[in-house]
Amino acid sequence: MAFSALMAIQVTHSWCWAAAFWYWNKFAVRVLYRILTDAMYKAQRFSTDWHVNSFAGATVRKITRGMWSFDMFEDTIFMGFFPSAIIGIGMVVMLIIQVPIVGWFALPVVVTFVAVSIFLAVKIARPKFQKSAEQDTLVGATLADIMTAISTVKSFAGERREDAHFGGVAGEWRKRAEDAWLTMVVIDFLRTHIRIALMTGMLLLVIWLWYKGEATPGDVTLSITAFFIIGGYLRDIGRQTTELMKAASEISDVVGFWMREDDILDAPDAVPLKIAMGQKGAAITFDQVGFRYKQGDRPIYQSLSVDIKAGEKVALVGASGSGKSTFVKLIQRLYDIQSGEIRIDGLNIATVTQESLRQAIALVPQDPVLFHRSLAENIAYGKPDTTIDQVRGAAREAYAAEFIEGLSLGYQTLVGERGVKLSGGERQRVAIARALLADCPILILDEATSSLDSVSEYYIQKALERLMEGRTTITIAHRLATIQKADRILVFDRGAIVEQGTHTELLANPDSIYRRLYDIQALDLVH
Amino acid sequence: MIDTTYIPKATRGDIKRFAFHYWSGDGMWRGVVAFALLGISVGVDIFILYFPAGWWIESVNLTHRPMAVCMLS
Ligand SMILES: Nc1ncnc2c1ncn2[C@@H]1O[C@H](COP(=O)(O)OP(=O)(O)O)[C@@H](O)[C@H]1O
Repeated sequence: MAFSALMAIQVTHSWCWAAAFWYWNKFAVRVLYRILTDAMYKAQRFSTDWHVNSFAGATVRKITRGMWSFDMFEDTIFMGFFPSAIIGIGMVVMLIIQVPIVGWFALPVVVTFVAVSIFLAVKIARPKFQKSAEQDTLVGATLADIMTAISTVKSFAGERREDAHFGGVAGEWRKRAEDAWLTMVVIDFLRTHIRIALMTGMLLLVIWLWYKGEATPGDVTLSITAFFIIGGYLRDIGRQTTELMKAASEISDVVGFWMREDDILDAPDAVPLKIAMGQKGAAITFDQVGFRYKQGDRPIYQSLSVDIKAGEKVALVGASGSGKSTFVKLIQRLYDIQSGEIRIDGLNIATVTQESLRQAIALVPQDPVLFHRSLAENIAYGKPDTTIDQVRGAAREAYAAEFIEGLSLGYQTLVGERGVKLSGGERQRVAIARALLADCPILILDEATSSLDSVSEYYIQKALERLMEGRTTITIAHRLATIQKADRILVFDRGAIVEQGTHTELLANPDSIYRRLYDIQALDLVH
Repeated sequence: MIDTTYIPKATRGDIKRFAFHYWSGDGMWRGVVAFALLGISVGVDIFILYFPAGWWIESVNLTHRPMAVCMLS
């Protein structure tokens, strides 16, 4: 009878156990999925400034490590702590009922042990694991940094230097990890001894009771069994506390992501940007703009004012570091300005939604970065719901169709990470096609400072002319052809627009800064 | 001025808030069910298996006791 009851209990037990894990795993995977997608959501929306100042590799590592640590965190609580606690408490309660003296002795023993374990884990293990996690982030970041710049490393035969650099970072991690892990061993060692001492004490107590005749052999057997069970779970609890602290110190980065507010926020009453109808492009106004980078030591602009008419083609020139790129970054509101206003068609860009603002602006960067996706997807990026015919049309207009159709997979060709499989000129034309499809009223061009072969150059010029039609265009100009055709040139010098006019007008003045920059070839012009 | 690269340092309270944020929500019942089931199965272990064990062992003839203890563990 007792035997079949035992078997029935065993079976029930295993059913419950299996079902518990079934649901738990479903629950846990879902939680991890949410953490992962939320962290990505957050990280993508952090400001450009944040991304400029954070290693991409570190961000990747923080997110993935945080996710797995959270898994460990909840597993420890669910599969470790929770059952251990029930059993620990249950056994003690049982002892108190059955063999009160032993039970009342066991209670403080268990409590002391748990308290000591938690104390050791929180005060000693946790800070060490935190340090090791920080260094682990740096290891990931350094690795990513080297891999991203691998072409530079190779061209300067810098492998040994990078080995040494990375070796230093990894060595520090080794030191810290060793410290943390060895601490764990020592803590475990200490805990084991405490546990053995406590258990021995309890055992001696029971034997003594039995000897005095105050405990029956049944009590003794029960107590001994209970001791072994309690002892086993105490050992587990000890380990779990350390694990928990390790996990907690590793998830703190992701928790930080979760807590952090974005620094460029839409105003609560932000409206979508409205571009006036019946005109080409959009008007842009800088009204006494004052700006400095948070990391910069001095303001870039004190009070910058300029009016750009709808459809105007403006070229920005000036020595390197004079504030041209900052100008276009501010139009996109990648940074918030400290004073003044930037308006597009009369609307302050700080009062419109960032999404609508960025959708109004197409950007063709110097060195376009392509996704590791097909060419068609890359071109359609600016306007996702396009048909393949529209993609082809845009490619044709950008003079990109020819080389794309020459590829064996055509528009389905995957372009490598950062588009390395295409030449610079080809990537530019893909970017132009992308901008053509996006069809934005404002176009920002950052011209490359290096010249391409004359055939590519010719096609890119043609493609750009096509792209500039009917849009307000702001070009950070390095092509003589571009500045000659510009409606207006803005000459930047140390964060101020010092001169403006057409190429001929500016050159005509022998005392102009433009003339001087032009003569000493400070404009990095490509002829 | 706010440092834009700043990621707030998470305290233990923040980690707790974070955990509860992700544990709650529409999939929460699964976690609760899992906890309940695990609780039951562990409870079965002690309160049914070990709890009466003391009495049971008491009632078993002395010579059979070692066997009973073995079965229990
Ligand atoms: N993210 C940044 N943080 C701090 N300073 C920056 C940042 N970006 C650019 N600067 C500084 O701002 C100044 C103007 O830069 P920029 O607008 O890029 O010049 P240009 O495009 O004319 O070469 C430079 O001195 C540069 O060092």
